[in-house]
Amino acid sequence: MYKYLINSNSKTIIDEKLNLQLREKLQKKQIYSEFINFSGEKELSDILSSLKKQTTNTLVMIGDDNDFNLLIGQTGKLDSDIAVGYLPIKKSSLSKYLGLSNIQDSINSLSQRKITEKIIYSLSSRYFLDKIDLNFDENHKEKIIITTDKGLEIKIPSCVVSIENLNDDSYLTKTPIQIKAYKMESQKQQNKNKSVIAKFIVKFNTSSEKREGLILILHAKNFRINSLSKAKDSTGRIYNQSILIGKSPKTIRLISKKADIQK
Amino acid sequence: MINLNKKGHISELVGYSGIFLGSEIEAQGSIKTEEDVFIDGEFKGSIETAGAVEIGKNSSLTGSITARSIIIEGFAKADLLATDSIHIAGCGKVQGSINSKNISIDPGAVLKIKATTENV
Repeated sequence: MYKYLINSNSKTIIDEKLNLQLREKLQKKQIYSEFINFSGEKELSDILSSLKKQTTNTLVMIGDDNDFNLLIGQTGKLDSDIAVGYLPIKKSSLSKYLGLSNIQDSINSLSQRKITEKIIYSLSSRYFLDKIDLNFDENHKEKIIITTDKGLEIKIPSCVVSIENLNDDSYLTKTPIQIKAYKMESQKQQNKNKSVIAKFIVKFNTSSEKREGLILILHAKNFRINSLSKAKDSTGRIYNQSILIGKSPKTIRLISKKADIQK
Repeated sequence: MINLNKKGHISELVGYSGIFLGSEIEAQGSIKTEEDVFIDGEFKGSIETAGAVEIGKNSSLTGSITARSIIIEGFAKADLLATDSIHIAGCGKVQGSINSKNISIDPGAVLKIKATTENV
């Protein structure tokens, strides 16, 4: 049975009209069952822990990339037989990655149950599918230390660290995780030469931070990041000072337009 | 050769997919890879690759490099071994040994080296 998850605190709002439309479209394809609302990662984790394999074979997140990443992050709680689907409300990098161009396209893929098996990697106790960005506090003067499984130790200034799963790239099978580090353009620098309205927009829009330049590209199988400051990802999760990446790879069954298997 | 901006940062548009350690980075240990390696920061240790290695203008390297080709634009106190070629730019400073069948040195380079051009 299919179960659909909706984050009531999502940045992408699903109003009554859209909710109804979705239910109708799913009913048409005979894959409508239950919509489950949750309000945060903790509640989602509890829902996943209580799911029974006998009553759920497909779990679908309706929302945006952040919502889907919340589900991927908690897939450690899921039985490995349960397929994971995504019904993106708007176009995004993950919808592109899964080959889903619009809502109808996603619903068709869900009903056809085209499944692809993907290796996901862990970041501390959470998992990620394609990419995760960690924002370290730039006001912290102490350097971040990145250590690879081969014993290479790298000290970098506080910045944004982007961790990518390159598992699909056969060239890099021995070192499937890529780390990139970016310096951010300082807020002061950005505000220079900006109109009052532009400054106002910047103040209320954290995504307006601009990546100034790439300072590191590195591939490895496992990494450890140690920092005196905490890091935050795009979903707002906070990570402690010692972060392990890639230690526990896990396979998930993902519903995608480009499938390996069909069940 | 990789082009950096004034602040020593690489542009993503370059489409470079090898290993890159920028000018603000300090690293130590060993790098063993099949890819190209570009270092513009401080590195202590060994680099072993089937690809090319470039030591940028802002870099300081202590250790050893074994690669297909090596370009030195910064400072290297190291043993360099390349199957194809070693090039030391005019702004390069090298102490140690260099071994490759093709060695080229630009005017202005500062060297204290033992050079070998035997087949490697």
